Amino acid sequence: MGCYRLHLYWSDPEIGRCNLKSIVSTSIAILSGLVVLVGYFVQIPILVELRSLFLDWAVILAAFMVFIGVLNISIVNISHFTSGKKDGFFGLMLIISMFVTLALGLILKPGHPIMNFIFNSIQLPVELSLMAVLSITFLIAAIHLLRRKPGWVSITFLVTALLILVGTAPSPFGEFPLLGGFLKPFIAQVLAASGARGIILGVGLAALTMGLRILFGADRPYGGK
Amino acid sequence: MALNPTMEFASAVISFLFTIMILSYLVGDNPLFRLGIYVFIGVSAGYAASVAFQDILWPKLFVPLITGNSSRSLFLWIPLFMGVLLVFKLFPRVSRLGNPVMAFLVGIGAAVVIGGAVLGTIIPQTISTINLFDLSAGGSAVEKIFESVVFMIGTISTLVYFQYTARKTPQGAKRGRFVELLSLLGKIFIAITFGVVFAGVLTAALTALVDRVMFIWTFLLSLI
Amino acid sequence: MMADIRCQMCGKLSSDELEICPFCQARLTPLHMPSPSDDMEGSDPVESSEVNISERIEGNQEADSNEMDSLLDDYIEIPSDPAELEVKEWLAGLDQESNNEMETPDLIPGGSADTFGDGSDDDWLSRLNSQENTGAEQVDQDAEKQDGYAEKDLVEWLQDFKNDDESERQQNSQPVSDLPMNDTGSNDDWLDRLQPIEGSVSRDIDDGVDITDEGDLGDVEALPESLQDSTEGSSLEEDIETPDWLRNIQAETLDLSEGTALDEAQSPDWMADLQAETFPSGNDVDSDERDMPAWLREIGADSLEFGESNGSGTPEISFEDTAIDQGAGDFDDEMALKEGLVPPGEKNQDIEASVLEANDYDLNSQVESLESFRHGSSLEKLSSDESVAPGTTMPSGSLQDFTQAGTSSDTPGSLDLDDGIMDDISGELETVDLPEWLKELKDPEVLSSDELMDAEVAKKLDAIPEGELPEWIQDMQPVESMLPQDEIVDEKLNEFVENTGPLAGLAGVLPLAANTETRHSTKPYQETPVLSGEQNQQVELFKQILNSESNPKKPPLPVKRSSQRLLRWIVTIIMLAAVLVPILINYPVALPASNYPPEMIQVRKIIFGLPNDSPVLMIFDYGPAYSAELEAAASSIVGDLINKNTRLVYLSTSPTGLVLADHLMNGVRSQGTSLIDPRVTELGYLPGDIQGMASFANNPSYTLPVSTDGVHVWEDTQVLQDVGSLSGFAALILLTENSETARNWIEQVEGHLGNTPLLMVASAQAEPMIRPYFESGQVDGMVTGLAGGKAYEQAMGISGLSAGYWSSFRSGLFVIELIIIFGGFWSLFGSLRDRKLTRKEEV
Repeated sequence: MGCYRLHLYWSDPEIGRCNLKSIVSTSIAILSGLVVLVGYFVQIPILVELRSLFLDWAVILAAFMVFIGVLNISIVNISHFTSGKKDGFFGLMLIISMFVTLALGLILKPGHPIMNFIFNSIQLPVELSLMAVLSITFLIAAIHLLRRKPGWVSITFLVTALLILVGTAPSPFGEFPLLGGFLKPFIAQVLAASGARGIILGVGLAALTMGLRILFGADRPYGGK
Repeated sequence: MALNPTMEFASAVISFLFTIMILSYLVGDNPLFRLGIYVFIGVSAGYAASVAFQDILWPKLFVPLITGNSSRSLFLWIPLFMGVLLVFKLFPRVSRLGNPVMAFLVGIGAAVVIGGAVLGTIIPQTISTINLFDLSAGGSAVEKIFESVVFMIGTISTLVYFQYTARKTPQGAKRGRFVELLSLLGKIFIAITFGVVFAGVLTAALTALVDRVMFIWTFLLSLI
Repeated sequence: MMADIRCQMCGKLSSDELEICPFCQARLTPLHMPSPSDDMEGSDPVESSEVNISERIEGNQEADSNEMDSLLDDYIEIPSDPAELEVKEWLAGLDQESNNEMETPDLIPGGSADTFGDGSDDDWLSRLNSQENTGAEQVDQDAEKQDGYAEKDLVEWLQDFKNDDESERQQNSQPVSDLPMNDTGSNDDWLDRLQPIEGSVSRDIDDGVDITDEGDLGDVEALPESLQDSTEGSSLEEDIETPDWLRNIQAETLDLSEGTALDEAQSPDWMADLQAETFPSGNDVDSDERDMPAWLREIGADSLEFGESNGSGTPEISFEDTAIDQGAGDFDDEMALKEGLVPPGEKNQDIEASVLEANDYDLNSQVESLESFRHGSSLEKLSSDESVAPGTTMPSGSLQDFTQAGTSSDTPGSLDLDDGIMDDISGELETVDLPEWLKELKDPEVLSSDELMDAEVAKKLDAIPEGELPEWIQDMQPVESMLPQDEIVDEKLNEFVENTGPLAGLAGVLPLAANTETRHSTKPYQETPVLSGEQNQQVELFKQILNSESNPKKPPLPVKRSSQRLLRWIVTIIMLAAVLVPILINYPVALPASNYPPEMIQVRKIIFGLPNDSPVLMIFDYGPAYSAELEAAASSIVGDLINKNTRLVYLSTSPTGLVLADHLMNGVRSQGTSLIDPRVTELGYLPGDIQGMASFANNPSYTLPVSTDGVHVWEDTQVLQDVGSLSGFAALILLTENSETARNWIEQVEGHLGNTPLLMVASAQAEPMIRPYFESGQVDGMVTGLAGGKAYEQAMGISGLSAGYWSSFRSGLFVIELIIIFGGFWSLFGSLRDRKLTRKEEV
């Protein structure tokens, strides 16, 4: 078990090209995946324990990856600043703010008022403001939609959105009973929901296929050949 | 823990400044906007890293390793070693050392996705689609049947729309007529679905805009 | 006979007196080598392809002598060693002796009459040396011409010999001295005394030109192109006056090759004299020997010496030390032997034998340039000239080549020695070392003097080593001329006589129209290729692409940036105004609709049905950007939960989830919806996304054993002691703005909740994708966005955060609707207008 070609095409002349490293990585992926997957369907105590252990290790490694992401941002922006790029000064500001926040968080813990102060003063208003800007941007995009892609699909899209918006909140002039009472629920709860179900079924099937390919070793997104 | 008024005022001032800096993008891209974005990214990354360390690494990894109280502490050397190998992914020359760890994570993720997709989406949703025609659930039968039929058609046509298998013809790859009709119908349902999603995005964004405008107005009023 | 000659190259008419076409510089009259059967005295004129040498001599008096000089110089220049240089000298001296303006056939391009000087042996030899350098340039110039050599020069010098030496030759009873010499009694005497020796010719002479063949030129292809061109039929009617001595040489050569004894009448006198003078020990040197130039005598002696010492086929004859010292007129019988000038009688035989023994001279490897003499029409004319004294013979060997020995009258390009010229060539030669080519003469066949001379000369020409001829002459000759005749003789080909085209009259040429019948026509290619079905499809596709390329679609006009910025400003102002105005004017909040969403009703039911002090897990998986919407939607729910004294357990898969939870709680407190303090337990941050969810769903106490305060909440009776899994919670409320997160939580907690309701507080944008889960029963209740929160508050009869946003939200929403409507129509009409314009442009 390991090299995909080794098992399925054992007589293939490319066997010799199988890399030992790829065999190790592929074997780890398949073994760990099978342990977790079997635990979904079969309740064997050893498998349950092993599954819990593997999932716990995954959580710890995910936390490590957050730190790795921070390190990566640091390296990139330091290089931008030292190389004198256009936004090097802003990169420096990013690094300063990041390490200050990290230091305070490691010292004071995230729930500390100062940490809350930083969050409430910087992160929260910035993200809310970005969302507010997004409203204007989406509105302008809706205006240009029929000019850039005129068609019945775009018209259906905009009309549906319009109906939902109208049914969401009553106008200053009053509420449209047919629209709010029937049309909007029908559109949202039947038409849109049916389409959404088809989409999530498709997404589920795709996820199943992708997972099986990884467990079979056909896909190796972790760098294995 | 509540902040003292000074701290609250300072927080308000800083929030106001950052709000203005970001909203200035509506006028056009400017250095203030960039400064606000870069600071925000730094603060977010630092905050996330501090939370990851404080909430996961320290209590779940380092403390058991240091104290050695947990029965599973012996096994914790493995994730520690794997975490160190993950750091090598930052450097291209030695990034290969992190491949086994990535393989471990990918394998577990694939298994989790398979289990969740099968048990949490495919089977329940399929059963739910079948149960649409269960008239015993209550409600008007005609209405229920009508809704069920529409729901069924919408679901199936949406799935067929993403079916790209076609036959080879002299004019090129073409799907059958029935499949083409269903896919066209599915396209309509998808457009409706995305229209509803777009409406929701607009309302969410509008809510944020309302919040910011109210905050600015309130802050300015407080200054007066 | 004055007639116009049509040039075979350019087709233009020229005077028959001209030898070279004035238009294209091609030779008008080919050069012939006379065949052995030709009678040099009274022989009938050669066939139309032969050249009248005498007429040519009488005709052109132009300065083709330069060409002759250069030709001879090159011919002389090729030998590098002194022995060979002597050959050049005596050849140059030949020209010098013809200072009586006797026209010599221009057999050798580049040669000139002056080459032979004024008759002094020393002079013409010296002149031979001096003109070596200049002759090469002249030879190169002439080589470029189609008609490369000046026949007239050769004819001239041969004629000189004829005129000057005829008298001496007549006086000379020796067969050797039959050759015409000049009156000065200089080096021409040796030519008169030259005569073929029986069997004295090099054993390779038999391999030379077959002089007995009727009109056989041997390898016409071996001739220089100029010579070949000149041997055209129409231009060969002129007779070439061949010097007698050349004819004698030819005749002697023939005799020698046949191994027959030469008749005294046939053997040239000069050959006889040569023999007598050269070999005093065994030969009775005639008194005429004293008339032989000393240099020639020395040449003969030296040649004999060379022949003894040098076993190679290359004759090494040095004239420098011998001919010059001895003066003009000396002639060596041995040299004559080597050079093909065979002394007569016993002397000739002895000499021949000695030469044969000593010298492996191969006549077949002679320099090709001397072929030109063989094919020279001027010499042919000389041979056919009646003025040539009868009985004159030409030495064999090289002179044979000059005169194209072995050629018959009907052979194109055959050169007949003019008897008149030959008669002029008289005089006694002093005993000198014979040139190699003279010594290697064989007994020719019993032929006429002319034939013998031609044969011998032809053979000698063939036997002259390549080194003695200039390169340009060698280059002119085809490869076949280098090969032995018997190897390349193609009888069938020789029998064929071309009668059309530029090679008309030549024998042994490849027919122009050869194999035309057997030539197969090329298969006609099908104009229209046969394509398969797939290829036809590809062709059609390609045609479509090309057609579409011809009518390029007009790209959509990009909206100007200024207009975009202006539009953005306008929309921003409108929206800000729409949101701000209700705040400013304190617009009254409208009553909400009476139709509540069913999912919201479900949530209300469940919240109401929760027991007091029940643990409720709240998962804050939304970002700060959606905090306003979700806080507005969830604040009433949280307030109700607080009022029920529930144990709120906070969890988040986002790093900022807990701080947002704290922010929510602050908002709830600020609203005053809750009456008591909440009991909150923060489990903390759950990383790993779906893997963390799966881990937590599988074993929550193991995944997050302690809270953010460091308390082991799963063991604390006040918090979560009775909760071992997700099913131990009274409710699970998920707050998220992302449908993906909601789906993951739904999938992972499926099967672990049991009877625990799963409630959602979702953003309006996630609601469509979560609804199927609500429809399927996986989600028990859902509050969507600000409107859902407003509806929940209205249903609960309270006024929360949603009410504060509602007026601005409603007005803003209305403005958005208007903008979408008007903007959509504007864009639609604009696109239709653009399409019409595009269609008009296309038309």
